[in-house]
Amino acid sequence: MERRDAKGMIEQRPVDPPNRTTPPALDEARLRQQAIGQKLRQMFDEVVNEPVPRDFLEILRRADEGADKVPEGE
Amino acid sequence: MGLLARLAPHLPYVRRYARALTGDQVTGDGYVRVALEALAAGEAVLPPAMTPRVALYHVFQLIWRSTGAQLEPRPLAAVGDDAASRLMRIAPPSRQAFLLTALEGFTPSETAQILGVDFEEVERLIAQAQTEIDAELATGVLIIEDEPVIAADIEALVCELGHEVLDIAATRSEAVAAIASARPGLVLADIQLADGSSGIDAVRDILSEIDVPVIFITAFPERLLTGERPEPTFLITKPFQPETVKAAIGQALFFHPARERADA
Repeated sequence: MERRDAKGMIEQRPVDPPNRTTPPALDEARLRQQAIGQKLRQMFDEVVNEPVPRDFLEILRRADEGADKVPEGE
Repeated sequence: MGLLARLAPHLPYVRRYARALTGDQVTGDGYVRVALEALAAGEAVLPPAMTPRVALYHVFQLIWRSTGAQLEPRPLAAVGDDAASRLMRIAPPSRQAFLLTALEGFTPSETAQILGVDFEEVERLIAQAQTEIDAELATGVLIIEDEPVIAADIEALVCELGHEVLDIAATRSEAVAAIASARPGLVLADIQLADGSSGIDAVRDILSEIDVPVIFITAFPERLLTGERPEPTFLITKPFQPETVKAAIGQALFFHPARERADA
């Protein structure tokens, strides 16, 4: 249950904006939502750790190749 | 840099978000696929002012909002008492703000960029999400606590969250008697009770009768670390911060599978 996301460094902590004061009720709501979010991350851990569907990468790869060919008038 | 290089590192996370948002991986992946195809076809672009991750979520959200959010068969979408069903009962706009900040870890400013709204609207949506979550989780609470002042503090805190305090028990036998008269959806328990009886024993008695989430609030946490700790339980150490107790209550209720409703 304590397993972390494989790419944990991409996870971010909400820290902004520095020059603004949030109402206390909202701060508390966010704290409570973070507690649920933390458990949700555990729940969806396997989604993050499983391979991305191959066709997702294919769509992007084809788009990149197509973009390279555009100047040649494809 | 190409689309693949910019977006590939973020695909596992946008899939997670899509799954949580739509309640289903196949459905979620479907929207991610449409978003990627729109980018590939040039029908959607990654706004240059945004980081690649924010931009990807932004494009995904445009696709989902124009189709998925409209199609969602609410409020019949989810009738279960598991966490995934609870998520689906939060209205789509506030669900997005909640998941983007609490699950995906985006700041409110980034969330505003993703949703294409201003910062104040994100704050409003987060507050709205909390209202919906509180209403979803509202239940009857049994407090097992022998010190009247602390019991009153806990009661006030529980009521602030919209729950109903069914009873305050000061001893193991009072606690057992209490669940016979009204079945709680949550138990908050001290460990050392008035007559020398144990809150751990009281909770064990209760859990042998009903399935209920339990949060221990105690000045003696070591007594729960001896291996005789009943499951499922949460542990908070006295003196407690009210926000910590509130956060633990929300977490315990959101993820408890078979909770009694206050109106049941």
